[in-house]
Amino acid sequence: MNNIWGSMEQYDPVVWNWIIAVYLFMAGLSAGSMLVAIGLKWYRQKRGLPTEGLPVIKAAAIIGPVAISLGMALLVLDLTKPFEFYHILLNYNLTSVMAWGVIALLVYIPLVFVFAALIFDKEVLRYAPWLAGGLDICRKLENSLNKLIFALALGVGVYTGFLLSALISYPILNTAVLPALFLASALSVGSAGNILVATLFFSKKESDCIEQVHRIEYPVAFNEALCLVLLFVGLNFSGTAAQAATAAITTGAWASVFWIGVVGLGLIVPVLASTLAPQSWKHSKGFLISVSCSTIIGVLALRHFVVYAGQSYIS
Amino acid sequence: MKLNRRTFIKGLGAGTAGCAFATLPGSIAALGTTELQGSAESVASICEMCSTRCPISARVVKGKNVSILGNKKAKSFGGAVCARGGAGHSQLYDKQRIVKPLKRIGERGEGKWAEIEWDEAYSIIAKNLNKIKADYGAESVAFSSKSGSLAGHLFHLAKAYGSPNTFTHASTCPAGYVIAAKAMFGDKISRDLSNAKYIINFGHNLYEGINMSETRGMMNAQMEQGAKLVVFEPRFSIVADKADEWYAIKPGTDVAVALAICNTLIKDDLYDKAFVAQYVSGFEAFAEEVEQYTPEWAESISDVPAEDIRRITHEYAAAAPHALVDFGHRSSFTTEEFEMRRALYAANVLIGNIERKGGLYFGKKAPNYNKFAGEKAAPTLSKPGVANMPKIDAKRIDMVDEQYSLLWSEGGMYQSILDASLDAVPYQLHGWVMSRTNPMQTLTDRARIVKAMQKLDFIVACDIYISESAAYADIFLPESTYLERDEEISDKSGKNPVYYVRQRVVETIGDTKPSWLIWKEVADKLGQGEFFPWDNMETLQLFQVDKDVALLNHIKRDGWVSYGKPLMLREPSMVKDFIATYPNAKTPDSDNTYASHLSFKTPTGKIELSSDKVEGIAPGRGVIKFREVSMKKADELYFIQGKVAVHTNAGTQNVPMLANLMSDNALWIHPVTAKLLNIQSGDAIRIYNATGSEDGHALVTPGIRPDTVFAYMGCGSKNKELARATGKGVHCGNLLPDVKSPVTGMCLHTTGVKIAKI
Amino acid sequence: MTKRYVLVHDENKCIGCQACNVACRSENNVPESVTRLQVRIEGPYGNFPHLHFKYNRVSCEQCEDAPCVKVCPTGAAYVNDDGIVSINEGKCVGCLYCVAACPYKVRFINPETKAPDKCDFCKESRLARGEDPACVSVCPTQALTFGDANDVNSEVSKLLDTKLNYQHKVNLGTKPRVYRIPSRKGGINV
Repeated sequence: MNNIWGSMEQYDPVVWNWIIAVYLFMAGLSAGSMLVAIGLKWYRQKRGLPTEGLPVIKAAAIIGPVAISLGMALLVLDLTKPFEFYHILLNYNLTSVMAWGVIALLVYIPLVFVFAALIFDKEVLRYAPWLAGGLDICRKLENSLNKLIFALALGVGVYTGFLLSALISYPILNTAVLPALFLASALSVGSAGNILVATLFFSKKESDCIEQVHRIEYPVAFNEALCLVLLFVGLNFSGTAAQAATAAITTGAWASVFWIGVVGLGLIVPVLASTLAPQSWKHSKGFLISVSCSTIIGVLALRHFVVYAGQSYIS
Repeated sequence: MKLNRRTFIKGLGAGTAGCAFATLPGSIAALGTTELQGSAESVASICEMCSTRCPISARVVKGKNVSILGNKKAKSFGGAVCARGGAGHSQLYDKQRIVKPLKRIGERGEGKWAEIEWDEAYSIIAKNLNKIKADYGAESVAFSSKSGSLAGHLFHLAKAYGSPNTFTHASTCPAGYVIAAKAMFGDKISRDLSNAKYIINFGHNLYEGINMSETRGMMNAQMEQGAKLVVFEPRFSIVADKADEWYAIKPGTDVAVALAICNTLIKDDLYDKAFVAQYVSGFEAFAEEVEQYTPEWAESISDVPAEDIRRITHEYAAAAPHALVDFGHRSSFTTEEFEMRRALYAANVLIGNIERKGGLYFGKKAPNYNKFAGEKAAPTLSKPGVANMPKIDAKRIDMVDEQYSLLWSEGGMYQSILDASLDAVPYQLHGWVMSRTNPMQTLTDRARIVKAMQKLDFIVACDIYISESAAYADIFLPESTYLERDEEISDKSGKNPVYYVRQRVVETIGDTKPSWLIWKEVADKLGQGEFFPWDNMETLQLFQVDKDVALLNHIKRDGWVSYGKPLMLREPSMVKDFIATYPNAKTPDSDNTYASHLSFKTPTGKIELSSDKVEGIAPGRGVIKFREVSMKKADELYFIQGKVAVHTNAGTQNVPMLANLMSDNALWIHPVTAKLLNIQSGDAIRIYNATGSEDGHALVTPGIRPDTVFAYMGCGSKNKELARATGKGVHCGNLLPDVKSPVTGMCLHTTGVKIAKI
Repeated sequence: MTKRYVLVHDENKCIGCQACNVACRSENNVPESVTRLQVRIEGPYGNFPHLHFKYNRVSCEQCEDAPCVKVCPTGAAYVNDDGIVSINEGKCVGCLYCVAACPYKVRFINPETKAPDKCDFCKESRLARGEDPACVSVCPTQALTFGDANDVNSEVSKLLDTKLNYQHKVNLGTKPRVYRIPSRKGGINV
């Protein structure tokens, strides 16, 4: 039968687009880099090692606030009514994952700025000496603040997953694995981001700690891969619509994005690079930059894949 | 990857606005936006988005919209309105609608227009028409109009001017069944679908070609009365979907199945002998002819299994007399329309369903109804006659063959304008005045129509859009839409008398006029104003009701005034109710019916199953007979068309709301055929034959016979003034050959085409 | 909540003519590029000659457990006292979460208001005047029945009690209030 009922474009199941994918990526990047940095700090503190001036932590102090700010800017610009954004700060529907996200971000964002300010206190005070008092107070609370940021970063990482998994009619999205997957990939992009920025701007060969950050890549990559396997194996057991959605990794442009981007660049390249590359390469700047870029692109691909392929299959 | 859906939607909105002809002269867009002023209270009126003319109730909402619903007073319409009716306001203030007279300033069809004042338009028309009249005689101007309430005003102008050549769209659509009814019953006949228990339908697609009361009636019969519906149609249409049984009959072979049904009714002794004896003339000759038309024979021609024809006929006869064979509407399936429609009527006559519930019946207009009631149960309407009209000696251009004589008073043979314009057969035409008609789409052989229009000296078109045909006019006169017009009271009598009236709902937008006023003013300019002695529409309305203002107001207020009880002369329960209502009613027969009063306006006064009169005008056709026709070459596919629920033929493709629903008519192709041609749904294809060639898109579907392709008609306009419709889809008229069917004079809407992927 | 407005779509009576589609657009001034309602004629399904179409009314299902309401961060999407899923445009920021969350994909952004829009059973206009929704009023074949399912004597209650009916995507737990009487040909294809 001919279409006599008019345009069906508005029924396109793909509602959220690349802006949301990039926002989710940015939120993950910010949260991941904070988790890695604070984790590293605690790791070294426990072992009595110095934590001052660590390039990775400096990198996180840049990435954490910048990424989340960029992400939020994108998110607001993507609203159909960006100038009425304030409504979301005044009204809270607590059955909504997004409302909880807003609450978490409302606390998280200022705290990452505080975190950054404490790391770059000299630079901050040079431009804004009037902040000295505030910074002092924060410095006293630094340990508690770090705990709080760590908890909130965990929340933000997980939140980006729950945001999508609350969409009940999309089988790929509507799964409990998604928040775990997003958290795992947040850690991997967070560490890669930290390494990249640290290598580019802060690294001094002798005390870079990049090695330690590198070390978490295996477990993170393993977790990420496990989540992906669970996701698609799970779909196979969740009814016909969900089963049909597994086509996302076998057919169409998004399958290529998945295998080349998510699996290839995001998982295989970093793991192979770490295992197979000769020791002499491992500390070269070029190698570190290449591998971390590969991971970052892989995670960016993952966010796009989940957003687009996830919405393309509706039950 | 997909576009951002919001940018897309924004783009779409901008796109439709952007492609509008912001500068099309005379359009609402060119004249600037006008405030919508009109009644905030509901006004009862009559729709004109198609020719069914449903009673509506309309009001202006907040000065920017017109709410159009069905008039609840009209019970069989149930307050309903179809998509086209509901979109009436979208046509009303469509920016591309023309609201100022236009004069052609380029070549014919080139699309160059200049706005002019009415007076200038009238002067140009008068100058040219009077010159043609002086040089060649008034008969060399043809007048054509969509049949309907105001067509009479144009035809009155033709008579005043002195031309006998008036045409409606009849020979492109309904004339076949009307002519066949006149030949058999002496008059048009209606079908009582809503009370039928068994309905046999030969592709009368009431669920897409919506005729509100009939559509509702059939659905009511099916769903509430449990009627069985059998459909014979080459395409799986909506009516085929709703049917209990669907047979994908070979195009153009309906007559074979209809005759086989008659054969079975007679051979298996299922027909109503008493009815035939009392009311039918020519049964023996018919029975003798039909003896050879067995179901087995029909199967070999139509692909409908013989056993099914036989079974269906038995079921049909068992439901008699509350059963009917639908005689259809658009009757241009084959050149043998006359035989086909008569065969369909014959299948009704044989079961004696005439004037029975669920059968066929004659309209009961007030004069006739009052006679039975023995009192003035319903008011009668007067018809204004104008004295001393000029005598016209010239013959009509379609009077080339006596066999078409039944058509001359039923709208005429529209195609004859082409022969007369191009080949001077029977004589040369020089001018054409057309009103709300679009022959380029509804007639056939578009290229021939273009040639004819190029050759004429002078063409006037009156319409609301510059239609494909109006695009070739010299003068374009913008008519007010139905929402801006008052008209005469119309007789809508069915089983009892009914009147309704079209009334203005909104103030006129731009500089348009109702066509009754346009033709009156043209007559004034021509110097024939004396033949239009009325001042305005109210004068005419008051004349109709014999100055009974109360009656006029009643009809205007209610919009639908129904008198008395439904009456079918041979239905005892109805006659009983009727007599109970009217104490002075005629005394019924012993069987409590008015059966003895049923007579027919034929030479014999009976139903002429076989007719000497027909034999006289068309030798060999007195008796209904099967003749083989070939409508395509062996290597071609049948090309058939049909109506879609959201468009009226070719008239609404540019109405924004309807164009938004559908603006393209993909060609239906069976998967087997498509595979052979390596065609998939959505593929660009070329459809071509000796008449023309069209590019379109394929829709591969099992809902069509493998030897047939189908398209909804009306799309693919070729003039740039219809910006939303132009170039979208297949132009059916460009592929159909110019044909005159015997007796009915119908054009032909089935032909052969070839398909190729492009 | 005393009322429980439901809509019953009889797929046997529906002829897919789009009268409802147009009436809805006119009544609710829905902009040209979007729609609150369409009836898709899907198919034909089945094997020749036993084919059949599905007449799929696509409009807000007025879920009792509406995913759009659940996900809306500001409460702009809410269920009114009459059970009709409604939109408070003033609270809406246009995050599209509700549009994404709707399993039936019947929410859209109105290009004029920039807020989500959808069928509301004509509650502002016709329902407020005690009339049926526009689609129900104009339907040529009376395929639509609207009313209060809490009233056992209502037309809709009788229909739902006597005719086989189904809803779309019940497995998602949304409890839609648009009920469908399946075609007597071919059955249910959700």
